[in-house]
Amino acid sequence: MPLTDLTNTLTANITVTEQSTGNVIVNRGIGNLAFSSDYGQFWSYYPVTTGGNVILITGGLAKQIYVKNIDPAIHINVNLTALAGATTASAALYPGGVWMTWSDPALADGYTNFSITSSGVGVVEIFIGG
Amino acid sequence: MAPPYVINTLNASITSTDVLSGAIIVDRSTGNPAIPSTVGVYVQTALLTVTTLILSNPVNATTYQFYFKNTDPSNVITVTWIEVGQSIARVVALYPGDLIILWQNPSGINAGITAIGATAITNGVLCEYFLGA
Repeated sequence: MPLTDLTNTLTANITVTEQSTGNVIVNRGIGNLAFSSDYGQFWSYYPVTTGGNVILITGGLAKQIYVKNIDPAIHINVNLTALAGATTASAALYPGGVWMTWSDPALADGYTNFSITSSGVGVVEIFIGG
Repeated sequence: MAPPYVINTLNASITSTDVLSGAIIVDRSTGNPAIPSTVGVYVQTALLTVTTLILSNPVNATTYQFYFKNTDPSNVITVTWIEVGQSIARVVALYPGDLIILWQNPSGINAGITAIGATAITNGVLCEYFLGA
């Protein structure tokens, strides 16, 4: 499969709005990263159970990962093992929390293992690309 | 006026477009979480060195909204942090153009991260970041 099957794009903007005046004091696009990729997979309601939940990575290597805790009650931890095997990335996400990493498949990075540790039975939202 | 003073918002969407047909097979907003907060700090151009730069917001040891992008054209940056309630430092290596985002509400017992550090493989490496709390 050629490395041009898909273009996975993250379009994002960060704003900071002052409560007292309504002024938008920070308004910054992050550059709209569009990467040529082999695959892109989105799960709107991915079921998780208490404890560890291994998420299958298509092709064995993920370059773009997005996780959102859309469950109203559980909290989750996102666990990633980097390509080199020596590093991990993680964050605790309570309801509404978002974690994402977005990188170019042409570069020598990515993640080989992806799991979610959950405090209970619930649902999360996931995108994996690479 | 008591906090929250600001609302930190992440507007983001993910698309996956089939190159051959042009069909957009994934088109999904991430929900645009808007978090009432005390502070939101954006640093557009920071120069990193081989000595770890600690990234901290001015009001709180814990950061709940974090964005970091390697804007350098050629060098790798290592970003580390510690989850609240944990002791092990988490590590991610970011190549040029790579980014990470954490965006969450501070209401969770162990929400947020601390001791955020950024280290370059050589001196004078560019990055940009946002810290919210």
